[in-house]
Amino acid sequence: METLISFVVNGGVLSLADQNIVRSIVKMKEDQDKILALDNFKLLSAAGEAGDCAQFTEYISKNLKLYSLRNGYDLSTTAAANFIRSELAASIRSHPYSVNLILAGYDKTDGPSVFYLDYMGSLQKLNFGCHGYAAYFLLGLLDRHHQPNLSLEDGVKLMKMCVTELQTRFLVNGKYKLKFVSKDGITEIPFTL
Amino acid sequence: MELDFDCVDRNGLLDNMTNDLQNLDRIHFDLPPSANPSNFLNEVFDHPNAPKALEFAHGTTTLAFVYKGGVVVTVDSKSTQGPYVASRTVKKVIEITPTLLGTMAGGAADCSFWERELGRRCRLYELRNKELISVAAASKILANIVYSYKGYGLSMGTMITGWDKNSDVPSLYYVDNDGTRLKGERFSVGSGSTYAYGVLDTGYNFNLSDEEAYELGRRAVYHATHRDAFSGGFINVYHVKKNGWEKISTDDCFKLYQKYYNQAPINQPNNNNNI
Repeated sequence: METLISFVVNGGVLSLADQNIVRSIVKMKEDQDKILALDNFKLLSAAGEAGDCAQFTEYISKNLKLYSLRNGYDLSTTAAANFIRSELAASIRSHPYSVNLILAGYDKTDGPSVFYLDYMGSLQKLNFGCHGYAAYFLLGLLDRHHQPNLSLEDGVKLMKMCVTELQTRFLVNGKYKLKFVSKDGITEIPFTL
Repeated sequence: MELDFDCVDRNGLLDNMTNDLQNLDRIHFDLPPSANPSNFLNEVFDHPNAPKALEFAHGTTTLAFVYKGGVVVTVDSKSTQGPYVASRTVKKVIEITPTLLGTMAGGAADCSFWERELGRRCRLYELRNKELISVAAASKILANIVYSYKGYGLSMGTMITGWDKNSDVPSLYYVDNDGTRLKGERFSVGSGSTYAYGVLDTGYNFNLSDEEAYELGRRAVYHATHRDAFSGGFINVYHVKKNGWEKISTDDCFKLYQKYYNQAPINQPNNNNNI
């Protein structure tokens, strides 16, 4: 029942995630941040099995940090995506992590990019990506309305459109967190409809 | 802590004895003689002549919340195995260190064993680093332990609380057997948790006085024991303060029932009028 959405806009990427942690029928938490900042220009949204999510994303972020300390520079978004994919693929047969991810990043050379990863180790570079039941509601909407050259303002409007749709048709409700990554780094955008 | 896989291939008594001797001086945890213990257990209990499946002390109501005066931890004390009430006086608050408290829900043995082990590690941290461990670090030790045993059948839902010395704030973490670790201001765990949440969420306010906070915790668990057949016994209230925890009260549910029964709910006539 978790929701992750990311899409490219002009000069950056918007990432949105729900903030609920649910155990059985109980909402244990409604202010969880599911969008992790891997470095100054990468956002990793994660949803999936309890425990695996936290352990896997921490493992990834600490290893990327180690890389940058050893080499004096950060991995590119593409390289980071391939690293994450390889870690998922390496563990799928023995100790699978049930975690679905979206990596959003901004590079000086490549510009903004979105990578869609699933727990089995698939990797796609997309203009917009969506995980969870929300995909059923939002992929059509995004096919119809999304353009990669959207301004940030229009991008935020599109995110609000997505959330409005979820609130009208999806049985789950709760709060959402929105973050933006661009050449100026990561900012959180206050998100109220 | 390490998993002891040696026993998987060895069956001889002598081997087992040497094995035990080898492990005397280190912390270890024996596993069933199978490569995949959870499958092994399922197969064993699938058999027509199998003994009754393992039943843990499941029914519980535990709750903890942060407010301006620290953390209030309230628990019931009933232990059930199926329909049988095994005990009415269980200590479900585990005193990990003089500054840290943990709660017990799910498997009683799992909770007491691993929170005892957590206490040992926290004390070692204190001796090594000459300062108290933070609640964040302590809860993460426990979360990492249970995560490493994920799928092996541990059953625990616990809250770790304490007062952080360096940041000087009370804090509360929820840790459970699938490796979840959440920071929060209000948690309730166990079969009666939904009933307790109903009282806790509506009565909660960060600026509660100490007495109001104890009463809120006690009330919330009391109402849970009333509705949840697997919760009951005595209600224990603990208060985590700046300089360590303190046990506030222990009350028999039945006596609380007598006491609360004669109190009118908000905007309604006293129950006694109906008699």
